[in-house]
Amino acid sequence: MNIAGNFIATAGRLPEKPFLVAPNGSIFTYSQILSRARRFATLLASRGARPGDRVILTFPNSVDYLCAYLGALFLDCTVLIVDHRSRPAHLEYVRDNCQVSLWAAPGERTEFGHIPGLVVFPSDLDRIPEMPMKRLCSGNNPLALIMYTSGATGIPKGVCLSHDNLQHTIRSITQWARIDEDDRELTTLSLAHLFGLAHTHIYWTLGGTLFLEERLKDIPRILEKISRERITSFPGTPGGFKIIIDKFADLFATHARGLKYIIVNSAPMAREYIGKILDLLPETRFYMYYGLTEASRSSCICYNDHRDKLETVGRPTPGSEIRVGTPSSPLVQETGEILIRGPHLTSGYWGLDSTPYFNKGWFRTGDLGSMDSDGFLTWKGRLKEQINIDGLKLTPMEVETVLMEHAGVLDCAVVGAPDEMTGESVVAFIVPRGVPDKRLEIDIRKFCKSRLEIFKVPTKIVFIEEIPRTDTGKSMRISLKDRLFP
Amino acid sequence: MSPNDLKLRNLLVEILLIDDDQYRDENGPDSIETWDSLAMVRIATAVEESFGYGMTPEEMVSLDSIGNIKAILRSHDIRFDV
Repeated sequence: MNIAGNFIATAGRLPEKPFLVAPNGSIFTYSQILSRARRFATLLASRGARPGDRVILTFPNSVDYLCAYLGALFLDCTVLIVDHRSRPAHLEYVRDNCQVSLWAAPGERTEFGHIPGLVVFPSDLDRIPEMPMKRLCSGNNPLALIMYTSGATGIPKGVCLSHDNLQHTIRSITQWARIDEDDRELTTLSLAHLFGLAHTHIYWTLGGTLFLEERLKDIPRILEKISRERITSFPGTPGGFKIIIDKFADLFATHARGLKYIIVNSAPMAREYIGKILDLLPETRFYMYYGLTEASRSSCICYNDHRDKLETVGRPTPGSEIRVGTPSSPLVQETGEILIRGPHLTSGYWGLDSTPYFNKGWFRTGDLGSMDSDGFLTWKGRLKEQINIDGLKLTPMEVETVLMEHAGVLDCAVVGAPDEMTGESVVAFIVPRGVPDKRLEIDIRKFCKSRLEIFKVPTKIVFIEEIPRTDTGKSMRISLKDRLFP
Repeated sequence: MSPNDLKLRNLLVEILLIDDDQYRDENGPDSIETWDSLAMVRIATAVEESFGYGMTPEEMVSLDSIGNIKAILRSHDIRFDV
């Protein structure tokens, strides 16, 4: 079933309930959004969009964006979402890769002017007639979304996600996070990525209310808004929560104590910060989940219930199966590639032979992890980022976890650098607290030596002002490596 | 402490992550856990960069104590405290 059909059902059940609250405070009910999305569907159809056509949307977080998204889904188009901050070359790549004829944006974008097929979201949308209800969600196109991977480690690939995949994820998250129609979520996440976008699917399915923010800026104002608007859910990335805890812990404890739950995703979070959040908000459920665009929300944990498992990303979500190593004889308490199977799993990549990414129906994530005897998964980094020191292997995360426990380290990322003697050596990029010097460097390395096997101790430390990260909070290690050899 | 001692101590602290008080002539691979074959090569390379003397392969494999490093450098007119 088309996920936009969930929205139609909710709009029929709760027409006057607020669905979206714009950053400026404007409130839009389910019936109002339904009307606007139907008008945008009419506009798209008038430009030639048909079921199965692929349409690119490139918007900041906004009410217009979600109306355009629903409008395209109403027509049974396959939606490709491109971050609005992407460069023209990326939009062109996606457009060519998927043979897209239409792309929609909130206004004219001069640097994109040479790319044909632009549909500008109209300021006078009310003048366009609503698409008749009987023409919405005809069910002729199983493919809902093609999400392009960031390309941080290579050429972007279009991950194909069907309506069935997304429906499963909606059911799964709703079940384990116990979300309901009374929930009010404030999102600062980019809705161009699946983490944030999947929450909109859940909320419009259940009848909840979403408060949109463009991003996590002006944190004191956002925290104040959480208490003023009686927000119950606040999803975020580890990086975002780290800033909040480091700089605004008191405000967070004051304003966020009414939260029913917070959800973190996208990257591992230091145990120290998980513990701090649990201590600051003892009544709030703290969920972490692990997944990829290809297999969203594959495992989850509620840390309140498992304070002895803070280093893990939990157990498989309902319907999802996870193994480490090989499907037939999975590893326990040993590190290997994480394999995932389940109804939420992508069918593959657009236009690519996906065979190498699967092993007997299991998706090869390219992630390293280990499963403990209780079935809890620990994520250990990317297989490709594994560092090989003269045959001895480690993941950046093993070292990063230790580094983050040092009082002088604000943020860090570890890479393997080419080394004549050992093949690779461990290099740590560190954002220091205060002014760094040689003494701090030695102290950090000694700290690592006291907690890690000796080959894992960084042989070099580079102090920098900021760790470059993707929008979803992942370290861009390739770009850091480039700094070593400019 | 002579300038050369200071230089060698800093070099070994950085490579071997030893504490200052471990900078004693009798200490070597048996008493410093980080002093493995790889560290030995790094020490030789760092000594060449800092003191301008490149060790021979034979000298490199004979590096079994801090005192021995000093002895090799002394034999090439690089002075250390006795």
